Amino acid sequence: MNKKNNHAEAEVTEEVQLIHEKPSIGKVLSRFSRLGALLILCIGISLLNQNFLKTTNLINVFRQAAPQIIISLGMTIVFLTGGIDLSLGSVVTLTSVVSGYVLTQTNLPWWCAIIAAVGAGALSGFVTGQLIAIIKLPPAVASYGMLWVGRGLAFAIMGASPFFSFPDTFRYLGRGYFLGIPMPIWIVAIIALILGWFLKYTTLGRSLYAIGANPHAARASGIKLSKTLVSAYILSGMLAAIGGIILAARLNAVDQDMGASFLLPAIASPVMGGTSMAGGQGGVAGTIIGSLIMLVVTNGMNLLGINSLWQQLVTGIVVVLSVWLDVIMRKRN
Amino acid sequence: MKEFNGKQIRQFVLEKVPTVTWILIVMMVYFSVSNSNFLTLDNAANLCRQGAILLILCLGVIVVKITGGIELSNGAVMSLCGMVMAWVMVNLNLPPFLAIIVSMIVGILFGTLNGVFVTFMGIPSFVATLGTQGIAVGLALGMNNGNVIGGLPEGFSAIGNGTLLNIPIPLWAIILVFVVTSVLLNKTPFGVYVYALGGNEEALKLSGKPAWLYKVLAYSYSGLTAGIAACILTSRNMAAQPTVGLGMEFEAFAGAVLGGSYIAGKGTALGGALGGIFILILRNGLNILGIPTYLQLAIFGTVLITAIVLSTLVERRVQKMRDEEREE
Repeated sequence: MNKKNNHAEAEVTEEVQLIHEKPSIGKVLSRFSRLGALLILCIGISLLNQNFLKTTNLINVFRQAAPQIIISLGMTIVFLTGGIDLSLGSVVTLTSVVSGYVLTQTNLPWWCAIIAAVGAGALSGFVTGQLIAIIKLPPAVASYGMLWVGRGLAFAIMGASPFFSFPDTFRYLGRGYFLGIPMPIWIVAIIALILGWFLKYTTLGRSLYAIGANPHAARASGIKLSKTLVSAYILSGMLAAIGGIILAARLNAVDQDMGASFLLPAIASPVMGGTSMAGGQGGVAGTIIGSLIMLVVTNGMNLLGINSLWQQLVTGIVVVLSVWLDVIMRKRN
Repeated sequence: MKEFNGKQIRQFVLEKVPTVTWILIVMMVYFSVSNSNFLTLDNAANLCRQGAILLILCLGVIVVKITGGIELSNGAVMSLCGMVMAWVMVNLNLPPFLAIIVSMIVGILFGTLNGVFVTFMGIPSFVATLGTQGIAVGLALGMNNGNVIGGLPEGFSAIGNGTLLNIPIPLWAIILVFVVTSVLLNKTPFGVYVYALGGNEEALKLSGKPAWLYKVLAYSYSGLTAGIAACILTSRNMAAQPTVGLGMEFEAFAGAVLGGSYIAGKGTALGGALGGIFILILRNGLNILGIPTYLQLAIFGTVLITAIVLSTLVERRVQKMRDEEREE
């Protein structure tokens, strides 16, 4: 029995190593192809409109990208386990409303708002994770239900009036500059570094890949499936919360629908960045490139004067096409 | 003998009747005890008119759900159908009955689009239908610059507000869609294949039957119901609003899941309708109890996910009982 376990463990570590340390030529190529697509897109748009390559526009794009990238990173973690979290958009709403509540309705200092928001995100992720791991609801069903619970809670907390005008220290997170670079970009960089390290070098991070790649082998090698699954959803909830905080700090107000538009791009970005929805494959760098592609497309549409009402149409098409590409790539492998 | 009786009762309670019926009864008793306005004829008629849209959507969603898919696009598709039908009536002066046909065709088109995404492109149904949702919302918003289309012909309001043989036309629509869905599921090859798709898709494919065709048709049918619901909705409001149906997909999804569990290959038209009625009564009851709107959504979501969890647990228990019986 013990030998069998060891054997399975060896298999899993091999698999995980394959994912991490021996990227085949094809994989390296496909990673650069994404970067190439981003560059071509940027060049194309800058040829059509010279304002695109101006520093102010680029910094603006990056600053707007920050919440989107962080939420997409949360989705990436869930994708690695082979699940999906449809509730992330509403977690963004909920957590920004929670932070708005703490900032405007109580006398607590601004960092309490951050703790409360991240806590709310973690709690929401915990419940979603439990529904999936213990009750064994399919991830789409459980997280879709939680979408509406989160949205409802946000409504309930806000009551009739929206929260606005937050203290300057809090707004600094969304609008401030540090060493000439906007704070949201610093936050994204720090989170990306920590997450990259976490996924590559910690036991939990590697377990996430393992349960996505082959749950049976992962279980045989002694990984606690339900615990790992739940922690993936908690992490994604916390990341969505950080996205919500930055968003609230930048807009200086929260409303009931602010998070809803993040869901579709959060599905598309990891997939475009090479994270497979089937689990076990992908990572931080790809998702950031994927999010940037999404954002450059929307920014380009704005610069080219296309009415923003059509944006959802484009996002919908991009989501379908990128997931289709993922399906094709998986079949080929 | 006594044990046999107990088993029979248990079988009746847990298997023959959709689980949601029991929750429904408890809820109705609670609401009628706590407020005398609940069990009145007026309220029932009111519910019928309001509920037609949701019930019709539920009946479409349950067909998709039986094949093992999740349908999240019908709220947005319904809005788009309403916009298109209002547009053709106002700008092309089409008579209402032609506009209704146009609405149904748009619904079927988007349903088929879902089906194509799922079958030919291999996209998971919830992502495909979310994508379609985005596409439909974008089109509905973009086609009239985000504005409402009003000024519809007078006669059009009959669909949502008129009566036929003293029965409101929306109720006729519910009955019609219900009967069609039941017949389709129970009496036609389409129904056989839909259940087979949910039960064991691989086996169906291996048997050489065109599994893809029936899967696409299931999504098309759901699109058709969105088109029908759009007629009632637009006629009731006498205007088409581009985002009016958003959120409806959740209620329809919850109704379908409650009426026949999320498990593929299970569910009936009756279950779908009961699930829809459950949601209607929950919403109506919360209104009558005077709970503020901003609290309603939170209660709604929590009750629904609890109900889904409960019905899942019951379903699993039933499965276990069946397995034990088989072993005996």
